[in-house]
Amino acid sequence: MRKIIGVSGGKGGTGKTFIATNVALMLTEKYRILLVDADVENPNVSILLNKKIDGNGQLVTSFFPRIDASKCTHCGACADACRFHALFQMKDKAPVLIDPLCKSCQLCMRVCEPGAISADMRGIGELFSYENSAKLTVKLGRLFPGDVKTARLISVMNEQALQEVKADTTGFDFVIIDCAPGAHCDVEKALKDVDVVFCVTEPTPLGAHDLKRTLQLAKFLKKPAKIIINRADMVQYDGPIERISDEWGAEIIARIPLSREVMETYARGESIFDIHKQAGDAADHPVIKEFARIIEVIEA
Amino acid sequence: MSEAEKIKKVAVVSGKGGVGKTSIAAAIASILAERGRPLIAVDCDVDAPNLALMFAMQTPDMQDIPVQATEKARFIEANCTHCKACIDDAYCNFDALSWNDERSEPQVDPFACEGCGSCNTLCKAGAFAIDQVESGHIYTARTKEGFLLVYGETIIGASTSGKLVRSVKEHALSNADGARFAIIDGPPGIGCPVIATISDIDYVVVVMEPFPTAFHDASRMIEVIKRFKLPFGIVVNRCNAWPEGKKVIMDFIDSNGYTHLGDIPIDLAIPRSVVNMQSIIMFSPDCIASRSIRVIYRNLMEELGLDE
Repeated sequence: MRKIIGVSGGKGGTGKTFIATNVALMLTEKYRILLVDADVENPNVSILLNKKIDGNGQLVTSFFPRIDASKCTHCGACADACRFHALFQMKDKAPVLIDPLCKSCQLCMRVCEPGAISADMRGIGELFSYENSAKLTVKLGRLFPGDVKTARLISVMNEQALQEVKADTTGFDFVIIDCAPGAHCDVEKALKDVDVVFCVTEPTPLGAHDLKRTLQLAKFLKKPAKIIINRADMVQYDGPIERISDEWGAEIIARIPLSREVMETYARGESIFDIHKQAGDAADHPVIKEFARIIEVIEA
Repeated sequence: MSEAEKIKKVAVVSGKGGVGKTSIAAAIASILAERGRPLIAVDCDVDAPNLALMFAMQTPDMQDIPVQATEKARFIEANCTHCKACIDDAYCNFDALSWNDERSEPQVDPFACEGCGSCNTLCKAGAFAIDQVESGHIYTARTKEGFLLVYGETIIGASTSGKLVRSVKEHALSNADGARFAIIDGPPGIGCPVIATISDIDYVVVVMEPFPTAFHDASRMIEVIKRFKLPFGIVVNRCNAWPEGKKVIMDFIDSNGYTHLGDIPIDLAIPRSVVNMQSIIMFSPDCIASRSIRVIYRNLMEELGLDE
């Protein structure tokens, strides 16, 4: 395996998934690719690949305490130990669990001397994996709506993806990880093992502000970062992004123009690259030319 | 205080990012301000707070309150007996403890640490402390339009967005003196920070776009909103971007009997207003987007049982 590439950027809707997916498809010309959708709250890679994710994936579970009232001595040790206030101790009764506050640390179970607490492993989301083509494998996690344990789902998925990649038998050339928006713990987890972070931004003060936070996160994780400006000609706002690029030492590697065609292919779940490859005019297309620059950076 | 005098809390969410939450929240705030209705604007997207930028407000001009909403474990070398029980008995369920062979002692990964206190409670030698650490900031200032704007921003790596969202809301609402509306710009996603944003809200505005991705994410958002039994209405942004997708959304709204607050057509005045750091209502009061948002505003007021 040559490289793991994280696609992040801070602001939502700047084109992370669009870029991750099309870069992956372009790379399949020459390489075997693993594409990981690490936005478990809203995984969209498969929508852009026009692939319906049906049925059940591999269930990912997380610990919740199950309290056996018959063994509980009402000592309150579990409620005292829980720093998330997820257990509420009432007088002369077994404690009550406030589910959304539980972080699955299991400390309550460990401190319960009468052994009244056992593990209630509940599903928090599902993992899916499929071969989009002989050269493109996709992995994704999908959180059940209403659940909050996104970090656990990402950890499990990344661990699996990395194990597969590290095992010699799989033989992926590149791994591309599409991140959630923001610069929070889920994005940190997704970027933990990447070799380089591609920050996708838009030319507005909002894009610029959130880009800086992603660059800060990349620096924090000691990862090199590159900038991709999407819808680069939508409005004139090049100067501030260029200053950020200079200040953070993150090169601008592509400026993808605003395009009605991109919007339409995006809506239909088609790849702009595949369409023009078949038409034989990919080399001259203004959007695909910018993608070709990204591919050059990846191969370098 | 009568029901009608209570502050009405309206959150703008979408599931997907970049579909127009911040532009719409800023526009609604501007309409309320121009009508002389007292409000407070709150940005709960603490990982990428952008609402203040729509009112040309920069961090250095704002009142800055550091927030310690997070806890992390710290290893105390002097107390360690090198028994390795912390690793052998797997004290940490978050992979934040690992053994440093060279030094023959554990080390804490502050990213992975959730501050649960297991190591602190379980280590008999007392080799772990739990520290309060700074997790973010709450910024407050008055906009040119005269209303108070509050937002939070996490410190990179502090990893407690949901808690900070709650702190931002509490701070905003306790400083909302006289405000009758709280317009809350929400984070993308459907996880912890969004759930913290919409808890105790009077009305949720869900922004969709006629693309399959935005529709998919907003539908997941609606599942979460319904779970919390909150009233909500749908706005379709860039409604004319893809007619097929618009039809899917309208069928979805009709067949479920949901409230349709209105549509906003594509209008390049919106990205220009963003670059000028003004809400679309201030930047171009009569453009097609502004007129559309005024309709949405009227429908929203009706939903809240109030006059426009």
